[in-house]
Amino acid sequence: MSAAAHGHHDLGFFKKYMFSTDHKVIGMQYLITGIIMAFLGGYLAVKFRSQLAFPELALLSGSEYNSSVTMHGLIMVFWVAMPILVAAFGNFLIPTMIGCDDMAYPTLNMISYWLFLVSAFVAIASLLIGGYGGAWTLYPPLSANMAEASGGGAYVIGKVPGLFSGGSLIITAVALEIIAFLIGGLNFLVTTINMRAPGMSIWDLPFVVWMIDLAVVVFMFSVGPLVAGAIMLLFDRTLGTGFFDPNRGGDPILFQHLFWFFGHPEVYVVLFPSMGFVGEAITTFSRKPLFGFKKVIWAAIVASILSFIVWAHHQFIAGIDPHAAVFFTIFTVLISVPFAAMMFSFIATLWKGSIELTSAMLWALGFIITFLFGGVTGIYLGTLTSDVVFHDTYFVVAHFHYTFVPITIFGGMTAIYFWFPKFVGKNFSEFWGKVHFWISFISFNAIFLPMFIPGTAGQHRRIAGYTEATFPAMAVEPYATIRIISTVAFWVLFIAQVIWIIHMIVKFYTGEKAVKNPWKANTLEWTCDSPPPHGNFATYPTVYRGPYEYSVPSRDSDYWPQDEKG
Amino acid sequence: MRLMGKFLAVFTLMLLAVSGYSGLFFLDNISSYGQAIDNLIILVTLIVMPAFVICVSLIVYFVIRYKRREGAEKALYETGGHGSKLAKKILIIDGIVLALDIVILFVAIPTWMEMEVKKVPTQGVVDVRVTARQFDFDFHYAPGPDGKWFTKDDVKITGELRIPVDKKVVLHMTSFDVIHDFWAKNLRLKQDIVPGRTISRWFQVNKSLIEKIHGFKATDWDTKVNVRDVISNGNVMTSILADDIHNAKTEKDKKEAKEDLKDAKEELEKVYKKNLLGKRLFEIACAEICGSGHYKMNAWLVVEKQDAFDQWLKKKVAVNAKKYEVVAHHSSQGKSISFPIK
Repeated sequence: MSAAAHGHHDLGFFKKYMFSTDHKVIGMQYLITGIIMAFLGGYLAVKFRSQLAFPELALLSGSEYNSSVTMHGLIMVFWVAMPILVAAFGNFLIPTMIGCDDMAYPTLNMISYWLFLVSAFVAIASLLIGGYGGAWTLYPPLSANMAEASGGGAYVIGKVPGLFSGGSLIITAVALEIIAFLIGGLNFLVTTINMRAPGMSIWDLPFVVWMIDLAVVVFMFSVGPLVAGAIMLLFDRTLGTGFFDPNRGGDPILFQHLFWFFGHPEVYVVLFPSMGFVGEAITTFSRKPLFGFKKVIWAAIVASILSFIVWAHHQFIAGIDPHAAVFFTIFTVLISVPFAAMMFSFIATLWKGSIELTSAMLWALGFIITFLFGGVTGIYLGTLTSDVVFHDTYFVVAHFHYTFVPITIFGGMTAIYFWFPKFVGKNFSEFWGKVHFWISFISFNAIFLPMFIPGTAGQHRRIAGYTEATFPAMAVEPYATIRIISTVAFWVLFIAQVIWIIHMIVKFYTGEKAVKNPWKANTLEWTCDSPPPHGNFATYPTVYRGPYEYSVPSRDSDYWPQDEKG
Repeated sequence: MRLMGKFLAVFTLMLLAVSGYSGLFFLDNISSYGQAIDNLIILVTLIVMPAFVICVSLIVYFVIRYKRREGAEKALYETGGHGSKLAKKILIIDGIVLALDIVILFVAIPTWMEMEVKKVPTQGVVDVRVTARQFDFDFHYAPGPDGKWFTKDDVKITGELRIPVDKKVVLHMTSFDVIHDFWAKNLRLKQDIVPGRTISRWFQVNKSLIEKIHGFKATDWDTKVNVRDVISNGNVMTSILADDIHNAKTEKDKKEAKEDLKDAKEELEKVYKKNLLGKRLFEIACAEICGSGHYKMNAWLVVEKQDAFDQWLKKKVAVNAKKYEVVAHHSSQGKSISFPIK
């Protein structure tokens, strides 16, 4: 960041880059931490995918395998998707898009990042002492009792693993991370409500700001039960209480309810910002207003409300009342309606547009296609009767990654390519951006599309190797070959991300300086310098119109910035 | 009309593709309600996959058709607000999505009611208690003259669920330690096994479905299926896999271990063939992560004709009465419990 070049006074290295209260520096800190954690999570996947494809090499033992898949899941959800999509881009975009100089509470913002960094270190510490191996859902009594750090461990009644075990540390890390995001999220909401530029009504807010704020609201409403559950679980592990262990008078299913009450809305917490990025890219590169802007936002609000009454679709066969399952399946299937409406709006935005296939646009279109597939495969799982077959199989793994990878990687890359010139201030190479997209798009589909086949046959999850001795029906063709295809495709996907990071670092140092508004977009952040200096705007903007006035017939120019008079 | 014809042709092709897909990738169904589940999956596929294909085709078409060209006219200014014709059309499509959702629910819920909500049958059924523990399933029958549970003639057996064909079987499942899951792929029956509670689920294997399995001969009913054989051969292989190769210090040791593995595999294949794997012997898996040995937690389902099943049980009773001390019913409070040795 070259914010200092325009700064009022020299702050010194530590104040400027480490303990900065500038929202752009904090956003960059979140982004870089998230990317580092993504490579860590990806490395774990390299390990367990290789074991899975070639079980005869015996690369990982049963507990090492369990620990790798568990830590991969936890890291990718809590330390990659959340910081990159919500925190990093929330920090970059909210102040610059609403036309103010910084967050409402800059110091709290800094504290939020540092708490997050501590939580990341605690998570890495947990990984270093062997991690936790009972799946990212942390189901007790396994999680309440498992003593060995490696995630192996036989169940012994009343055995207390203590605080310094992989499981206890990762639960602590999740709790810390949640506190960090509560502080950050509070800041986002206060800033959006109070600090908008003169003339900016809530319907003049860009789509992505709406979506990030909506994500924060959903997060705040859903996270309470998870924190309660995590602390009770931590007590079970450290003090020997028995909240979730039936052998000590507890109830294991209670934890599942607390977890999924958060766990399902959490999907939308990361999805909404991503849809926001994609919406911005699609309108800008189609030169068209976002189709049905208000309706899309109302659809998102309806989906947010519904997201609180669908959580037990993760528990259809967990031993809950089968009558209750009928209630939850109805709302789960119905939630497809608002999401279909949102997707149709994106597609309608392309209609009769003037489409330019930049890297960011490709990633956005890739998001729509892959996420749609994730959405339609969700119907199989949300329908309770077919879920009996698919629950805890590779069908779920494939479906889940067809939602989370579009959200995190496709949505995240849309945002990174779209705003790189603005917040880094350098141009990147469109050629390498497109190469990165096509390799990633093809290899991603090659990993997860074939996975539906063993999933349909019932290949169950979290198994270090399907050997002829234990699961002969899964050890035969075509399943064995499909596992190898997925693994090789994953190596390719991983290497593509290495190429991307090299491209980004090279352009950070050598790229030519970006202009103010390279995409000719309307929203306020494009009126700042690239990168925006400390304080963002030379003169604070006034807003005269909505964010998506593209190709207005009465004008020669095909865009109309929000702050342009007349 | 021409469009209609094209549509029908495409739909027929998709139907063929889907039924081909399901035929290739479902494991053979042997339970009375399994076909309803498989049919539901095919129905969902027929609904959602065309929807997906249409959406993607539209995206690709729009991107090609409306790609920015030199001197082309400006994009259409269409906000999709009040009075937009396209918005009304999209509203109708949303309505269709809602209607299709309701169709899926109407087909799915009755089967669920049959499988899960309907009271578990108690008359004329085979009751089996299932206790899951790290990392095995124990099956417990109460046959014998008294027909009561927890008496000396009970049969307890690890890793083997033997059941008669064409008869309702009720599983009363509980766990000794952590959450496990009973997943019998060919039965389309999956149920989490939760410590501290007993969950009952029923199923019935139909003789007609067994005899429909590819390559099944009527004489196969008379073959004796020996699960001990499978387990012991499997154990040898698992130990070669996990330890020998992993611990091999020199290249020579590693090579030897790999050769052993190859031999063991061939041996096992023969054993499976003899035991009619996929015809009368089916795998059961624990589908909920339960600790370090989760990857090998399995059991075997053996289907017998009624008379063969009765004979098997009778023999087991005779053996068990001598061999095992029957342990009183353990409560969920974790009183000590012992299991018969394999």
